[in-house]
Amino acid sequence: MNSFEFLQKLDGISPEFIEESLGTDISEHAAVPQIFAAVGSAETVRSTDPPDIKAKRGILHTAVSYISLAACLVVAVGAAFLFHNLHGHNTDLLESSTPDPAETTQPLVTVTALQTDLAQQSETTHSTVTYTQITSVVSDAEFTADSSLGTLNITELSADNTLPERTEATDAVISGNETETADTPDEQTETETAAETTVETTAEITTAASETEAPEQTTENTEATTSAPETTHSEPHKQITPGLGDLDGDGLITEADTAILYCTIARESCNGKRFISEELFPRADFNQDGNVTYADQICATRYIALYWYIGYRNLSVEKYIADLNMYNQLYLMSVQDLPPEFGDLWQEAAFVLTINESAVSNTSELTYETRCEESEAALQTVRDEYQNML
Amino acid sequence: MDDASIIALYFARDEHAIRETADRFGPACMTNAMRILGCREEAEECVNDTYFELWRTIPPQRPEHLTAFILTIVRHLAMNRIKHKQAKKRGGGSVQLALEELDNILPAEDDVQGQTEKNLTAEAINRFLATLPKDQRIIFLRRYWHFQSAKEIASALGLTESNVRVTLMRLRTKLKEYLEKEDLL
Repeated sequence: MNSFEFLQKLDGISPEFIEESLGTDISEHAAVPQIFAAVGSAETVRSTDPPDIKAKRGILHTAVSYISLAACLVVAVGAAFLFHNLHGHNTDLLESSTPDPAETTQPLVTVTALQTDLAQQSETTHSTVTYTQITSVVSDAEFTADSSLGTLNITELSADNTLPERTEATDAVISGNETETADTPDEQTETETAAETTVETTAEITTAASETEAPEQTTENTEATTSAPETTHSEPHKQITPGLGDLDGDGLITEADTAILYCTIARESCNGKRFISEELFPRADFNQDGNVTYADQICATRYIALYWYIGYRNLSVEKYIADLNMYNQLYLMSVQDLPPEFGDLWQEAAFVLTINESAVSNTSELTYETRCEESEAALQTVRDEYQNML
Repeated sequence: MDDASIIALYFARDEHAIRETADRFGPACMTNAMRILGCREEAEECVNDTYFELWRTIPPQRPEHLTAFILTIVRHLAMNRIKHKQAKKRGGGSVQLALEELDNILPAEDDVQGQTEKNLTAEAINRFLATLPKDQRIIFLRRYWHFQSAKEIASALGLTESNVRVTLMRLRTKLKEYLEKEDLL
């Protein structure tokens, strides 16, 4: 009797015990992850959610971020339009998308005046401006679409009714996803650049400004991102090598392919000889970064984990490569809450991965032969385990 | 609507029974199926199969504990799906198909033996659970029957996660000793 059979046999447990374990209220156990409940919430990904829900939450979060950005831009234009009507004169705010640092005080003063007017009229923040008002000035959106200055000012306006003077420090605070001040010059530069150039970060400005507390879950995601070994960025519709990762030519990407990939990389680095044919060699560049390294093997192993073990059967290699960072995070989150029947199996898979990662970090004292043997042994254990579970 | 009324609808072959079941138990069924299958689409299919199975089995059965009855069906169907998926994972296509075809015609000798063994194990586990304090029994079932994570259990019962993990580890050891004593391992 293996662990899976044991778990199946638990079906025969007394119903009294089952009801006792449920507690008095059945609704307590009805915590079905509602993906749409995440809309408008800072907590978009929960570690206890199943992997596919996490992925959907991530997509929704991105969508909400884009919508927030669009609303923010439209409100910025709306505010500018109102200001034009109220004061009857044009300013340089909308004319220059890249203002001279020497002239930055002028728009700030302008928006301060605008903010005062808005406060006098309705005492509302940008988030409560009606959609009718917004749509009336949509045509002006292009003026401020590239203006980080306008976006930042409106964001500050929404946070409270006083417009702080624009400094490097305030930029850093506003640009960050959390309300912490960036400590280092590098962080400031990075966050400011992100606010000016990326859509998603700008959208997050709105979140950070409208919510006084930083979303806790973001920290977890950041940690997950940090530990991901890949550096390839998301590039949808990227053309990849045909048969990528399928080094044994069986049409599937399995542990056998990672074993071949491992041997290829190890032998290449050891004596410069090819383990596989020249025709197949391009397929070994799994992360499509132009080099065949241990990163490719980790990348392939994680794909196999997601596809075979976690059950993402719709995950094509193209999709995986296009959103490598996202799937890295997904993998790391998925490993956290494994069903018990996968426990032993995953230990073996994790062992394979550990060997790969130790090879990458080059801290392992194992010889080439020993690594190959251990890797093969681990893979064989995984295969045997599968056979037992059939 | 209470359990008795829902069962009465099933006995009257009233299709509203399914709707009432879905309203009352749907979310819990979905949660359990999701925990096991990890895929929303499959979980939805599993829950729909559960409703069909309920419609098929009530009557003649009249479950005393409707909640446990329904969740047991969900769990059973979900576990079968997992088993089926694993069989198909690696080259199981034709072999699995052949096995399924033979399953339909082979005498039920193995089934009887397997069912007896299953019943014996289940009875032994029931006896084992009866010996446990209530809080430990709940932790065990939430983990291995409902497949809740240690974090979820800790949150629901007001315990620390490490406390739950340690308790589960001790329970596993106890269970192993108990099953060995009963000659089931």
